[in-house]
Amino acid sequence: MNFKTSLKRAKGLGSAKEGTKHWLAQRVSAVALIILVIWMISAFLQFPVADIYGGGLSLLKTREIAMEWISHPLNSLLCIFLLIAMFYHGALGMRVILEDYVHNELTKVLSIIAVNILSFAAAVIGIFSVLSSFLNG
Amino acid sequence: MSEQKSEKIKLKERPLSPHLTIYKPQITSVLSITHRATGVFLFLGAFIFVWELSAFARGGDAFECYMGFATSWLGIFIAFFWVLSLFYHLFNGIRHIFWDMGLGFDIKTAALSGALVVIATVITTIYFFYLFYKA
Repeated sequence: MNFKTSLKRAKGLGSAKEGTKHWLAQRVSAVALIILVIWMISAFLQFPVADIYGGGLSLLKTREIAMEWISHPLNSLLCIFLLIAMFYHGALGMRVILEDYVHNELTKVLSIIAVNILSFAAAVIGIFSVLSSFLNG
Repeated sequence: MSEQKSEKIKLKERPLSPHLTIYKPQITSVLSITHRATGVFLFLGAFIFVWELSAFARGGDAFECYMGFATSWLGIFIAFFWVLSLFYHLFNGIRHIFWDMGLGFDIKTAALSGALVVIATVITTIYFFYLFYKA
């Protein structure tokens, strides 16, 4: 016999009881990205991109300019923040999309795990690359 | 009795809630799905960004290989749509944040802000690539 009251039973059903954190994390990372992306775009436009793409600048010189830029602590620090916010926000967003469109439970869970692992790995590789350039640049 | 029956059939034939194939596309719904599509594209492109960072860090062949891709037609094609997606997702994301604060929900404002997002995206993308290519 089931002694649970109707309220107790209903409380176990319905909403996922979580998601507020996910929702908030998506917004916090979004606000961080607004600032970081605008910074990155304006930084990118400081480079002589027209010369690089027009072939007026050698590959060696191109890398030299980039290394000079990343050797400034603020630039490499913001670059690392950008990587973290970007892959965090991306993984959260991809999760929502996969939850909405993948209906097979196993495929859904596995693809979300794959997205998380790939995002984490890419962010780590990116951070190490920035640090390596910062130290050697 | 027969009236009830025909009523039942009518109910059966009615379309269920939003079937995308029969749902009239509106600026709000089109921009909403575009937000997701650009998000997925940006996510994929983020891995190319990491490739770029690691190529610059490693130098040598790895760097030359990346630059070969970046200056190829395919690389420029991807970069163009990535930057376009970035501006779109940025502007539309700001629109989403206003909604989260409870602002701009009525249909007129939502349609207007949507149009502004599209205009801002086109202008900034063109300006970005103008700076990219200006001699």
